[in-house]
Amino acid sequence: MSAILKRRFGLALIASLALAACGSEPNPAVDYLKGVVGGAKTDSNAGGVVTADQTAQVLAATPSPVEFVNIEARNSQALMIGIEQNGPYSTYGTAARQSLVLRSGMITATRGLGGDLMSSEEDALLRAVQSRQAGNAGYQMHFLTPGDETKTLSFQCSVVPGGTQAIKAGEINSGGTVMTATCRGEGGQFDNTYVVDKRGTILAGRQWVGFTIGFIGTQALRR
Amino acid sequence: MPKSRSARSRLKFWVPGAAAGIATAVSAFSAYGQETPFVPSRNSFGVPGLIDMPTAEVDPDGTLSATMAKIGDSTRTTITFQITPRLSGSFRYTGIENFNHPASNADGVYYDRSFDLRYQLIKESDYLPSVVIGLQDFVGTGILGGEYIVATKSVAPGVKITGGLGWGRLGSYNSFGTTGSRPNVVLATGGVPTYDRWFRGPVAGFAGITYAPNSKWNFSLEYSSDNYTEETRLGQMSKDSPWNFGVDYRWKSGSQLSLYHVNGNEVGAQFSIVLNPKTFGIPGGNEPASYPVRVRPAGSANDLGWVGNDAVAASAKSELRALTQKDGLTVEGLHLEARRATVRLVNPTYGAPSQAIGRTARAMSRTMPTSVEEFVVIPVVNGMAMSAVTMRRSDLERLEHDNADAMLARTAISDAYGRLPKADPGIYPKFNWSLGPYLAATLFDPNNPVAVRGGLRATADWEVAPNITVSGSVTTKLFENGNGAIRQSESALPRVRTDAPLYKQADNAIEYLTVALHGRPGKNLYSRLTFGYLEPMYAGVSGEILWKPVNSRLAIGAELNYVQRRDFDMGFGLQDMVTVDPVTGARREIPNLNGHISAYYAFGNGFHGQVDVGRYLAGDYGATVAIDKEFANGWRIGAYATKTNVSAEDFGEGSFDKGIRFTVPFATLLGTATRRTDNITVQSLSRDGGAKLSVRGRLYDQVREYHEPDVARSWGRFWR
Repeated sequence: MSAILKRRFGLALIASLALAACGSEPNPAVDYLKGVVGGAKTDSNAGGVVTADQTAQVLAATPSPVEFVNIEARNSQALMIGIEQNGPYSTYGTAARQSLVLRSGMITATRGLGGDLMSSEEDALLRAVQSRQAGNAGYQMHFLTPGDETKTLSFQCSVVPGGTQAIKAGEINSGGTVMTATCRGEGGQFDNTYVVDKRGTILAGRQWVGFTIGFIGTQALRR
Repeated sequence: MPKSRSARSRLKFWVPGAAAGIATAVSAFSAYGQETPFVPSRNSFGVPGLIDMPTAEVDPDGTLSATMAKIGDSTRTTITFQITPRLSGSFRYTGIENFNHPASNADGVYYDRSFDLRYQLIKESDYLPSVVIGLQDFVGTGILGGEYIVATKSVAPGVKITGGLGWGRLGSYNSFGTTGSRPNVVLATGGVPTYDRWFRGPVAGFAGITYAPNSKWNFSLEYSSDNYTEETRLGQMSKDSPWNFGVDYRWKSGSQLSLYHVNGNEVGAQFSIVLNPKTFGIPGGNEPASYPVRVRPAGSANDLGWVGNDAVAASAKSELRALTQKDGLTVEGLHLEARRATVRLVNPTYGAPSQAIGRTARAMSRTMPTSVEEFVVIPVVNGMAMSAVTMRRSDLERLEHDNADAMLARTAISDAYGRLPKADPGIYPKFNWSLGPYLAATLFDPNNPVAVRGGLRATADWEVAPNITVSGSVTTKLFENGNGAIRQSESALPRVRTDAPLYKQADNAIEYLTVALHGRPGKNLYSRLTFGYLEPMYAGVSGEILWKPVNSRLAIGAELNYVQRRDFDMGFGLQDMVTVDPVTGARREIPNLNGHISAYYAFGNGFHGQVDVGRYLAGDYGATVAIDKEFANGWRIGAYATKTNVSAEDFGEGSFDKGIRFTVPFATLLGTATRRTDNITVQSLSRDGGAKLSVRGRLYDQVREYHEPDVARSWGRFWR
């Protein structure tokens, strides 16, 4: 008396199936495997090292704001171009449709990077950083879990001013105060660092963006 | 943010060290490690334990594991699922070689299925151990049957001690007392709870200690109370010592490879893989970003100059269609009014309905005339309007950078009956096809425990009109393992499923070839009529109607089928409904009519229940109860059981139909947006009682997806 294992595709055979199957609909598994075979990873589109020539080309090619972005753990750099503005929130994107949202230079969200920061409660932290004085601020980050639930990480940040730092990059030739926010919360702590000019704009920063992405460095090349 | 676009001529081309300036400016960054939930080691029975003995350790909620262990002549393959934070269940398939039992196959291998349940009574605290009560093989033939109460306590870093009391198999060595009497026969058919045995008979103690010097290695020592009585009596195993030793190598995910020395004379090995749908995969996926919301210029919301200008409306529609297409979505129609835009949406891409809706809404914000304030998105499946999701454009503009909950609170989901814009001309008919390899497996046949067939499969869907679909699938078999011999067993019922092996011999087969009509006969109502070759064994007509209010957790459905038996060659031919038993020669007739009334209920805590009551294929009457644990990302793990007015004796091995089932969304495996899923059903046995027609496209799963409970559950993906 046999029982039946009903399935449309064998999981163990996804690879062979996906590579062999064809049809009228695009097959995401094929793209994925091509990426794996070709050595591309999630950050491939933003990947590589940005050269001076590329920077020049991008600045020449667009009148829009340009931000240099470095995902440290992936050793992946990209130039992102301002594509939309919603109140104080600026969305920057790559051609591969990965995006970053900055509010006065502070990262408040990412999209398409894998493990995205979905949104933040950054009001207090941003105010504290912009003040260029020592202070404390609450800070919350919202993520999706692999199970598609929303997970909120809450932190208390202690913000301290450091020295001044010159920023010469792209069209930016300025400088500001180095502000370090040491944030403690569920499960650990991290240090975010920002260079803030007199108008309260973050010209450059290094910010923790969650367990999956880690730290992202940003620097304005044109505002 | 102030913008400076001047002074391009004074550019200094600044290179990679963008972060270099920053790096010099900052001191040390502390590492922020991700905590991975600890998954305890599994024993040879595939549950948290030492070597053969269980411990009171408990998996994180949602953990799914598969374990294969071999000790001497005994091979155990176990799937364990942590159903709730305290309750877990296991399904096991055991093979014992050299076993002198009437049910053993020609090679002397005895195969047996078993189910376990474990419940945590006390959670570990500073002073108290974790305490678990367990039932092993509690509905099977009883050969692995045993019960236990076990306690485990961490006593030093990496050191845990365990002690427990066992009954049945776990009370068989060096017992120190008895609690009542325990029937000790190995049941012939099994499949019903053996409650007359639980915690009865001889009771023995077991104990163990584990030491994990780091996260990779784990050493175990146990005193086993399992005497391997049946394996000694009917097989060639024996017990020389109660002391077992083992070592596990553990991966970060919790997967493990183990070696052990058991019974003083056997060497054993085991491999376990562990996966948790809650924590497996890339959080939020890897798919590209959507387009951001475009905020209307201040004061433009009252610009009604475009109204009545068909060109503006037409261009808005084509822009919307182009933008959504880049997101893998299809806008089939648009009804544009001065203040409201209603979209007819088909979502072939996203598993989470909220993500399809959120991306459509953002595309609308970039394309609709500025006076349009109300966005209505109506997802369509098989021509049926599933729900009307109504949002205010100013809310989208205001809440884009807030937590997704804020937008959910401002979104209304209502019945779309009568509100669906027509599909634009030229969209239908649609034709989709695919060609690829297939693999099918039949498990648990004692003569060929894993019978595998494979070949090529071609499928096609021709959507003649939005609600009329012609679908077909043909296969050609290229290989199969074993000798292809048909194992035909005796049945006391019309052979509605025990004849399945005859169909599996077909080299070229039409799996199905159907015409399906879908409709919305009224508010809260959905309908399906399917006719043709409905499944591999039956052709006919299947009609279904479903009542499901859009905000309700409850749905009620009814299905009525008129079937005719197909020829064994799975071609176009049909045959009469009289089956002949190959063992007894008995002729029995399959009735043409079968069907069910079904109730579906989403409990809202991740659990989903379904009850079907009706007449099954063989003409038997009864009910099926199914419970599934559902994850927001689309994983489902569940179990079902069917009891009809067929006696356990007439049903045969297993006593009644039951099984476990899994739905695996490919998106979580691949990290990209895809609606493809893998549905796997492991039936404990395929018998003729409680068998259902396997018609495709039952309504409920299509309908619930775009209704309020499911949309709200995955709402976190609205802005993804």
